[in-house]
Amino acid sequence: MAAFVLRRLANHLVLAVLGVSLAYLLAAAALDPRAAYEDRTPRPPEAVVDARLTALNLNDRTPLADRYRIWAGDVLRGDFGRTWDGEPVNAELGRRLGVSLRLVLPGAVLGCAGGLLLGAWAAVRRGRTADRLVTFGACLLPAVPVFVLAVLLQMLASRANDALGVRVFVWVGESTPGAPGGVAGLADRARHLLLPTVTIALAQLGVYCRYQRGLMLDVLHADFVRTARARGLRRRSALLRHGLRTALVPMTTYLSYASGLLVLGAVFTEEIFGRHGMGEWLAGSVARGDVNAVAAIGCVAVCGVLLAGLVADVLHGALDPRVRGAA
Amino acid sequence: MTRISGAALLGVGLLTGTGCSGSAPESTARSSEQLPAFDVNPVPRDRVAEGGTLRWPLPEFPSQWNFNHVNGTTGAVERVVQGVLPHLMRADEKAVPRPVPEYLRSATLRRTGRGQIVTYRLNPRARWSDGRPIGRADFVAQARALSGRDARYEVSTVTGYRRIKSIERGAGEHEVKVTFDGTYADWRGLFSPLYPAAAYSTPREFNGGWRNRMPVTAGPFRVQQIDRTGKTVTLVRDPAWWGPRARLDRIVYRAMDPAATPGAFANGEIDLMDIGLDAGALRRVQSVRGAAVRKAAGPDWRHFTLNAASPVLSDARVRRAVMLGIDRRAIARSDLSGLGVPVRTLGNHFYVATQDGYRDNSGEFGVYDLGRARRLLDEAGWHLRGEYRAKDGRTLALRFVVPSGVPISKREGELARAMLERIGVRVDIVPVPADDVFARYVTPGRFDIVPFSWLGTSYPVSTMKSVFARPDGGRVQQNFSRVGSEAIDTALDGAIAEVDPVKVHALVNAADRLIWRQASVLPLYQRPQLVAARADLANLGACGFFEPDYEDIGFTDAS
Repeated sequence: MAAFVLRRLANHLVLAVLGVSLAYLLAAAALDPRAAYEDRTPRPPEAVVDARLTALNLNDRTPLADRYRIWAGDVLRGDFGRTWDGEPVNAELGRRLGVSLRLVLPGAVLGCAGGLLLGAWAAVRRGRTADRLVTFGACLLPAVPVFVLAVLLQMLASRANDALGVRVFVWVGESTPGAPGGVAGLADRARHLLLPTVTIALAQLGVYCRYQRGLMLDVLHADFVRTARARGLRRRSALLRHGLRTALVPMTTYLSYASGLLVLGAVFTEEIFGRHGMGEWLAGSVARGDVNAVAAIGCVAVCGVLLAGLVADVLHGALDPRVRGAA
Repeated sequence: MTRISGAALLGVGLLTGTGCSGSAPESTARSSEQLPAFDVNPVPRDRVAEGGTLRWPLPEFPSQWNFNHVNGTTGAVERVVQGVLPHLMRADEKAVPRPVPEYLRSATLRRTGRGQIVTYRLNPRARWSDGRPIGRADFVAQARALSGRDARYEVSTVTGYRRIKSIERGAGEHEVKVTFDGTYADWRGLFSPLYPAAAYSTPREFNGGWRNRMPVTAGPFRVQQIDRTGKTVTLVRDPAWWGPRARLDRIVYRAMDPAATPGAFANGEIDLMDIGLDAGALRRVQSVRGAAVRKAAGPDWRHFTLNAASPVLSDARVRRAVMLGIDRRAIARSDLSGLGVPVRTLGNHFYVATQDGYRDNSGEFGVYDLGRARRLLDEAGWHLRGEYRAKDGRTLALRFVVPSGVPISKREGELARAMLERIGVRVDIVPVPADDVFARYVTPGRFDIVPFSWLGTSYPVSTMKSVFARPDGGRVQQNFSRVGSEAIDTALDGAIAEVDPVKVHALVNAADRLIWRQASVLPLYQRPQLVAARADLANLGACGFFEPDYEDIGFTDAS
């Protein structure tokens, strides 16, 4: 297993270097940080803008190859440069990544677990009312855009607050500014997390549910489940130990890649709930022409996808012994 | 989702967001013909409750708190530093700057041979939070840093400060005499905000000393915390403030996407929000209990810029015909539908209707007159060939560039197409990525008509000069029409050098009439400002040009 993982790692390292370089070159070629200054009235002095852009390695009048060399040299030393307003990208990346992970993780775990279970359950109850209800919900949820879902939930929560006369549901930001620390602070954070978590979980749930139901149906009537039943296992344990495990194998790949990109994909959830995470940063940086920030986010995305691939391989290997032998 | 209806260019005196105070005259507020210059809940200080926290959203989270740095000149920075830094002058609702007595007793102007001397009498009690008095040293450091003479200072603009020759001590310790080497009309805009000498004495301090911190302040509030993860700034009442004690205990600013504000406001997590021209957001906040929508005429104005350098529009007669063929009222009515505000067209390129000096100069050029438009086109040699006009085998077709994803611009394009079709002009709507509108299309001149908004300021002449000055070779600055005349330049230079407001207004209006005649920019309407606020929030709301006294902001119900 170790050799298998090492081989994969070496492959991935080459891919990562290629991916990150492409992300930088694409961002540097396509984005125009100078425009943000030129659109202002009165326009800032040209010498100032040039000096500013050069200091940040963003000057479009420097050849792209030179800019890439400077950037790559810094990145090798672990420094992603500075954002358009002179902030170190590394520090901002750390803050944003923290915000995103705290926002996305609970919802993703909940949505994934819930979706898998619901899907499996619906498959077992195939054709009955329960299955129809789950299927209907699972088709409806992915069809609703996340921002619509979030706004709907906010409206409901607002109604509930009005009806109760107390503000039970709050959602702007991670915590109330000036909130106390300790247990009360944690409770405040949990309260702020409630609505975004439900939003993310619901958005995830439908897709996982549909996949899992389909996969589960395939294995329900497979020979090995029938054999397990014939050996005297009860239906429940035959399904759980033989059916579900086998149906999970293809899901691991999807699951890993989906979560690898989830951190960047929560743009709307972040914006509507007043969080300042990676998704909002990416959208904002592209709009501002902030090349270094976009490249750093690209790097996170590349690492995330490759890491997800690695996790998928390992999980796949753990669940299916044949993969280890073949690799 | 986008907040800027059309691509709004960012200007210096960003007075657009929410937050100004003052007293709107009740009589004008009631007449439905025109929006008031500002709409707040004016309450005398003694009837505003003591205490409370104001939660105020910011459109973005600044990291550079030096307003005069090239990265710091934003509306968000301005909204915060208004409460913590000295502003010698603040504009009233008509955009007339007035001294702020806590900092400035008086400022007098004296003309000398070719220049002018301004004598500032400062409030002797005015002090920085580090104990130093506010005085000449701060003026000297700021004037030197912003003069543009030392290129290491990354300044956002050198307008005005460039003309300062010397700064001396006046009659007393608290008097500062500033000598200019010419006349400069907008001198009242200088030294607001004023930064402490230490912040501007070296380029290093100027460029980096106020990044993520505001080390020294002098206002009714001081900075308690800047949270870079949650993107919040907390101001608390400053006990060392020598003026009237601030009513609020705290102001919490929070950076928030405009998509998040209606929900946050409805749930009582912020106390006011900018509605913009979003009829959907307006409907959503109108149903919120205990909320009030405040409406005023804003400082910004919407317009069509015509490219006079394009082959078809280089003929002034064709430009005039296009302007006559567009029903400005209909476009304004469409843009402002659902907002419940009166529709009025704008007749000036420098002042908006609520501003001191405004005159409607649209005259014969701003009307909707199809007959004259057709005659002008015939005169110019464009004759009807079937549906559209043509000349020398070329069809009269105009590229109307719109940022994609901005419905208001698209609608304007469709209306213009329908209107101009009647005089035989074909309009091709060209949707382009919103971020590329200026960089790839408007600045290089790849358009015939483009709609967007100019942000208004209290000092429109020095800021709008770059829009209407004659292009100098390849340098068009912001003159996207690429046309101008010596007469306009002369009038504008005269206005900038003039210090008597009456004469300034006369010169600016003369320039404005020439711009109407040259038919390069077609003003549509003054953008209204709609702000939703907690109904008991006093002395803050939709403010137009008015700049608020932060110590008077508060709630009428103790909260």
